[in-house]
Amino acid sequence: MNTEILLQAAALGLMQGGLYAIMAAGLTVIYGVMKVVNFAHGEFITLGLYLTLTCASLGLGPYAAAPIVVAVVFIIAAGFFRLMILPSLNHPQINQMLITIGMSFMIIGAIQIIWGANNRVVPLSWARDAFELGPVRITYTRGLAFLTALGVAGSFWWMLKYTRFGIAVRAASQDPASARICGIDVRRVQLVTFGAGASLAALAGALMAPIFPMNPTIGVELFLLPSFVIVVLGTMGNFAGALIGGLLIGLVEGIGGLLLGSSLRQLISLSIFVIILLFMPRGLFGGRT
Amino acid sequence: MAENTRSKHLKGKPDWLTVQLIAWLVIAALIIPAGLFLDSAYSLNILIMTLIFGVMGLGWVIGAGLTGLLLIGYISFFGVGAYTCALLFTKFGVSPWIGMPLAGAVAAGVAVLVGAITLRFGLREDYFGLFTIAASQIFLVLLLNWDYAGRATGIYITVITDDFWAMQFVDRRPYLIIALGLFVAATLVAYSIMRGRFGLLLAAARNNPDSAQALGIEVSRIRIQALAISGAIAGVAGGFYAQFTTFIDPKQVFGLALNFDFLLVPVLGGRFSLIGPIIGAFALRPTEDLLRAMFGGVADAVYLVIYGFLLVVFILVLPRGAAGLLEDRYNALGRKDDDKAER
Repeated sequence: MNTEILLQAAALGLMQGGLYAIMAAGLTVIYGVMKVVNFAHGEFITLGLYLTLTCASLGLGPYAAAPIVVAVVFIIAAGFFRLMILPSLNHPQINQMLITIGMSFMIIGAIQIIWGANNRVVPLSWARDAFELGPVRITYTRGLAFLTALGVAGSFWWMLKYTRFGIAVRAASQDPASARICGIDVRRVQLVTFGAGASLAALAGALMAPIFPMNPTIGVELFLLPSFVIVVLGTMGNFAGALIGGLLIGLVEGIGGLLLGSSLRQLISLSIFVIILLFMPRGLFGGRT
Repeated sequence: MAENTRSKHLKGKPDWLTVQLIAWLVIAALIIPAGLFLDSAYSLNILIMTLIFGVMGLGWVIGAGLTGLLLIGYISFFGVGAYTCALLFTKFGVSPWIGMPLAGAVAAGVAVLVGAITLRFGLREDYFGLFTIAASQIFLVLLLNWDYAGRATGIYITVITDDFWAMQFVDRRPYLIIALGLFVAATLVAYSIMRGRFGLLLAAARNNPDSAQALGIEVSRIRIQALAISGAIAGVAGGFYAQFTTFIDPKQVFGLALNFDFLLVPVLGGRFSLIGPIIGAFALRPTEDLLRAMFGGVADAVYLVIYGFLLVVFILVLPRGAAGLLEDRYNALGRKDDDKAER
């Protein structure tokens, strides 16, 4: 095994980790604020992919389309939250999970109706162009996706930390009852958080559109489980934890995939998942939220 | 619980659990003539699948409903059972009549392992749930990479002639009888748990684990026992499923899609009830097949949208499942009579 191939695999894994980071960050804020384990999260990624496809067919490049895609998914997700999640927040957890699964069925079905079940790709003339960084070769699309993901994740983190609304979000996630007493409109915070969490997933989808061929079940098949692994690894509800966890899992999958072959790659993150659950269920950053 | 004990004391009115058992037996008795009159293999298959879902639902009620554990990766037990039975049959020629109980035993072993690990490490609620999901995915990946079990292609069981010992029937009706047998057996197991001391212990542990522990109930131990029973039921059902469908692959018997289909049955029907899983199974399976038939083929997607929407609406309207509503109605009925009698 030579070092160059290893470095290449690590770099590719890290790039993918950036995308994992924002998917998982979306999932973790939703969990943090309303304790809902969102099984429809993968479908918001898929929606991001397909909406980017539609924008592309209207002549809009994938990167120009991203803000529109994010806004559309925000509205869709907020609608789902208002109609289906909010009424179930006081119900047993298994009900909420199954409601998100019902949502996931609906979105997959809708995607098949609108865009068909076949594999689709967003055409981009420079999709295969690449730059070299020492021994490592990275396509511009991957590099751009990575940098955008990091930038957006960073600004989200800053918002959570320093803006009034961000503080309200953290208050609502730590103690909804007290937050309500302090005059925070917890329902609004939950609605915006759900929308924003789904938008992060959609952004990951938009950034992946020129990289991955898409199909209606790609979200649940490829990205849901890694997102869960990362959320647990980075402590459930911890935003920064999800970002770091995302990069870590990306890196580990990249190197592990090279060493074990792609079919066993999933086993690595699953083993990490189980080990973290058993030995440090609070994740790497337990205690802090 | 309080409602239950109250209605028990009412004169001349059987309690809710007994009513549920009677309803079960009536349903089971009605299925035999229905099966004999159903000519098409298609409707017969739907009926048999409904029964399998009912059995799976009962298993989940025992392992998750009664214990209060968030058992969302329930399909592991089913898949392990299916693979055990199918491997024993195709590789060693072991009759499914022996393979099915063995499948149940292996699945129960897996359930005990899952229970022992999670409860030993103090995993609760979400974490327990995620662990069970992870376990099912680990089984999926392992079987996808296991040459002996046919990797992604899975296992085929070829049916050529009628062979009782090999549980192979060209005419599908005997499968209905076997499924019905499993269904009645699972019901009786669930009933005796709910009726007996074990059910009370589980209820105490579910409602307040700490007080139950303080009262001397070994919470972890009884939960693991309940998981084992649940696993055994799911394992036997999985073994039968393999034999009945004659084809299994990892993505199917360890996949999230079938897993969630299994969970929906008891949740829609009623999580703590005996009658819930069969209401759920009879409401869901034929509906799913009907929608598939109506919008089949290319428009499979329309079915997904409608199915997903109906699920969400029913879970929102009936958070305790259909049986929860029925139970309230039944108890209210008693109360009215009671009031009249007092007057």
